[in-house]
Amino acid sequence: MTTIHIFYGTESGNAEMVADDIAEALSARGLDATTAELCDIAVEDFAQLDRAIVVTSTYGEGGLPESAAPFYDALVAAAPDLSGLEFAAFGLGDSTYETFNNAIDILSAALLERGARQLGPTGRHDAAAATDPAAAGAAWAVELTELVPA
Amino acid sequence: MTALHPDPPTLFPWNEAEFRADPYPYYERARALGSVHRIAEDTYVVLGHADTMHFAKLPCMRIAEPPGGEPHPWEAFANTVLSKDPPEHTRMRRLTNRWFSPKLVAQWAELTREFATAAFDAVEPGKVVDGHFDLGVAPTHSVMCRVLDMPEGDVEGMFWALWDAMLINATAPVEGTREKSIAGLKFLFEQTEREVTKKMDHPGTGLVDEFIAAHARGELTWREILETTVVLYMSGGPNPAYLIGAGFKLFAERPDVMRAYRERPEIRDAVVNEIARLNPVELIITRFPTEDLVIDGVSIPAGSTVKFPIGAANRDPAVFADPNTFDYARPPEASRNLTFGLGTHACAGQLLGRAETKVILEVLAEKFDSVEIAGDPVEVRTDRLVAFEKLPVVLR
Repeated sequence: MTTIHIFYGTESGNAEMVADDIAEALSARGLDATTAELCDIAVEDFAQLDRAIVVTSTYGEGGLPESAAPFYDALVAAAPDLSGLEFAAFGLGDSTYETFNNAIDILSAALLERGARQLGPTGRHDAAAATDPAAAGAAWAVELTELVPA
Repeated sequence: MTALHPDPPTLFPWNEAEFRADPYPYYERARALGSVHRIAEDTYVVLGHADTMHFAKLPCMRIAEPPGGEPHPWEAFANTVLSKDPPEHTRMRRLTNRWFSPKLVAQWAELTREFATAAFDAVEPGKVVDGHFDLGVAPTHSVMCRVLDMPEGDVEGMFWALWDAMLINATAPVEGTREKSIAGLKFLFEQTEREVTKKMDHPGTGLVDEFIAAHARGELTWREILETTVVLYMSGGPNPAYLIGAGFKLFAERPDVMRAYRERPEIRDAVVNEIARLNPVELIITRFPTEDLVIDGVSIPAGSTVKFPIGAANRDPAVFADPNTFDYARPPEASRNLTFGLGTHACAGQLLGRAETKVILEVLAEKFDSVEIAGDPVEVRTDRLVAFEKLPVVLR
């Protein structure tokens, strides 16, 4: 069984919570899932993966948070071939900003540009909706398993 | 250009006792006349929730006051998030983000439960106790001290030193305020510097130790660690304690809510949120736009001062039906309040403050059936800040 690697980029820990809950939801369905922060994986190692989920919040005016920005910069600089990678994406944002949930789109675009294939729709949590982001992430993950064969 | 209001002092009499005690009727009278008011040559007041949510967090709305003017006592915090804007702000803010993340706050919540349990166990049922200080300030200050790894110190002394220090942030500080503020700041800084200096020789494992290590690596200046430590050390108790005190009053006035809080864990976050909406601690968000703006048809030039009274946004009838009424069942689209601020300058300790309030009210509701206010609560208030001076309660 392929391990599903969940990587998160966070500023104040919300995306970390979501990543943990996605991992739990996947484990509950018998899948093998691990979490790590985007700043803790080297681009070369990321490029070797078959499957990954990326979770990121949006910081400031649509930018990437602290632990995602360096990974993104390294990815763009290294420009690896990601045609062997399937990924799913979940973003945290706040619709009272015009750049709502922009960061996950920036990150996804960078992966797609390197040849990666996206599985399922991009999940989006809206802080303005006052729903629990971790619950939203878990629900999205469950739907993802229904869409995608293990 | 919008005309200056003919009689600004009647609109928002910042220093009048009646306004300070209850600004809400003044906000409503002003709101009936318009949602944006020019009250001085270059000062505007914005009352609307939607306007506040959109404009107060724009990147051009700076927290740093434009240079010029007399030296201000609050410059004691020039090296903290309180006085900086992005990008410099980001670096300072990241010092604390990891320590107040949802995951870690869950741990601090357990610690709060421990301290609160001990505090409530020491209460004699039927005897008068100060709900705000003994059951609010003390446990929350203790939690912050554990986070920082700092000693509790003179809790009451620090509480009142902070109050004095903050007086300078009133819109129109009266004669003698400057001296009081400087004395308060001196007390806070001296207490803090003594303890931080001790830590250099006897390191611990708290947030302050992390600051000291960063300083040793040349990543933080001494003033940066000292000032940020003062900010956290002094606000960890007083800020959440006001919400907790308001919670005591709520349970006294609404025993039905106390019972629901005890029996239905799923409503507790909403109850805490609604307590926060009706009882902001810091009362005005002030920003300085670096670009010309138009808010609700009113032109505001760059370089102006824009004040967003949190209480006015929190009770905007366009968002909150029956805004002065406590109602924990408001729908999500009508629950977002400004008590913890917004945008990059939103309260760094928000998750901690909410969790502490939730847990302390949980312990209260678990251990006691009723709260009675035993004598007149006394608050100290400026237009900028509020605190309980006395909150005598009897718990049964």
